Amino acid sequence: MYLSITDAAAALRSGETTSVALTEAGYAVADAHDEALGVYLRRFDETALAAAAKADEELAAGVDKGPLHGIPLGIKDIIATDEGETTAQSLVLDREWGTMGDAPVVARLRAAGAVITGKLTTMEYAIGIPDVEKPFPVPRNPWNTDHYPGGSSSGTGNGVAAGMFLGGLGTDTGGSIRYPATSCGITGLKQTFGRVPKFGCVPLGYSYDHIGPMARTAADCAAMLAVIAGHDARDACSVDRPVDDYVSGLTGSLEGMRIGVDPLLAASELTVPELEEVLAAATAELTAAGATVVPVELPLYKELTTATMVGMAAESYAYHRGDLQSRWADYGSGTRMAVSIGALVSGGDHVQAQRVRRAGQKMVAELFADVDLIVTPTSACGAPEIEKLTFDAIIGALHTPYWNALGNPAMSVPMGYTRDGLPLGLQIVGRPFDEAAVLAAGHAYQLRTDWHTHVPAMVSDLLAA
Amino acid sequence: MSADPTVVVPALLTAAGLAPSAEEVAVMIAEYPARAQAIEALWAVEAARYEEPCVVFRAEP
Repeated sequence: MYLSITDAAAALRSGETTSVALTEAGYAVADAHDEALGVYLRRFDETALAAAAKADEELAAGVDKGPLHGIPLGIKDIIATDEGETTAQSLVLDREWGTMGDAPVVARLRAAGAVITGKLTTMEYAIGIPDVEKPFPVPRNPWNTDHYPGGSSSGTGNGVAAGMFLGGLGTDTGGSIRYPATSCGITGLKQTFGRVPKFGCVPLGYSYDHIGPMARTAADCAAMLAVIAGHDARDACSVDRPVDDYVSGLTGSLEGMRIGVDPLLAASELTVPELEEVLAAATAELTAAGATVVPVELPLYKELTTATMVGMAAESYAYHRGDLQSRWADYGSGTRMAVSIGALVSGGDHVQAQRVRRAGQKMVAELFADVDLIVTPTSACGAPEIEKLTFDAIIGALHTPYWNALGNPAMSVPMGYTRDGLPLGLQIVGRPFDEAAVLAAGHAYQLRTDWHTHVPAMVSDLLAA
Repeated sequence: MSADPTVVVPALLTAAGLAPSAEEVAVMIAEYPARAQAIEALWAVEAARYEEPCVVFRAEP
């Protein structure tokens, strides 16, 4: 189960493994470690194994639905699936929500032959921090279970890192794909806003939300994005434009590509000293792959980060106010506090945040006139200890919300470790709708490095077996 | 309205019909000045002076 999707797809076709074997192996890891890691809210063993058996039969009969055929994937539990209720890891969400069946993204994965293994932990409603007083698992980091795996797509991040499935869907409003990706040493892509339909997903910030792929490699994310991207009119923000062939663009070369780097070392009080060296090593690999790396400075860095936080607060508050009034105690403490910030933001503040976004888009577009991609650290430090977790501390460490204000595609790939052995991520950002360049850079980087192949010690015994 | 967070925060929460605990209100009061300062910085962005907001409305539902 420590294969990439790409490797597993090849193994399925060569007869080295089966979809049933891959799915069972993932569940075996979950049997051994889910209590410690808090990955699953609900497993779909019966339907998943039936789907896996069907995929094996189809592949044996020469029916090939593409690289996700027979691949076990997990789904963050704010995205609707046919198997039943979606909880958003909350006591508050009406269990009738989500009875429309598969969200378009899940339907597309299923049509591509993917095996849906279950629903995964999240921050409640994708915001806040875990509340031990609520009847849900507290997700933990497989690299050190005293630490948080990042969120809000916690279960997708730590489940992929632990080998419980080969990939999955997360969502990202201020960094909730890229944060668990960097924290757990995996790859996660927030593609351009509107590229993937978000119908069938519980909203957090309507104009900032993305559903996106999380997996071991950029190539895996490319394979998943190729399936889930594309217009759906049920999402008012969905964009109707052709989907690129992301997989064929993974050449391994960055010749002719110009990449701007902003280390953002002074942008957070939480920056660890080793980050500078780790980032320098990562950018050296981009140079070695053929790119020209130049320094850049992100404009309006603090203001656009604030624009995301203000917008997320206002938009989530609009969704939650009624329930906050009547069911305050049913919310986790971190979630109700984070959403209530929206009550302290004026309508004018929210509109001004939207005007700053527009100004920022133009400034960053000017930057992208000179470079093809921009790289930064994904986070200023490794994942925090769960005991010391605060929502503001999480936001203070992340370099992700900036890009939710702008909508550009942004991906985190593993680039090394802190001195404490916690993963660090490299954030690769492209022009709007140029996911192909982002994925190509991530792939080229991963051909030259092996951070994405590392397995946490707590599950490496199963790999040896 | 007063700019004093100990006045503003409880007033806004009450107006919104929210009833956090005293401890939670204290946290919100403590966090308010930094957040207000960050929001104030949005109003100082010269480049946004004549911008349209990133809000999309179409007449057809």
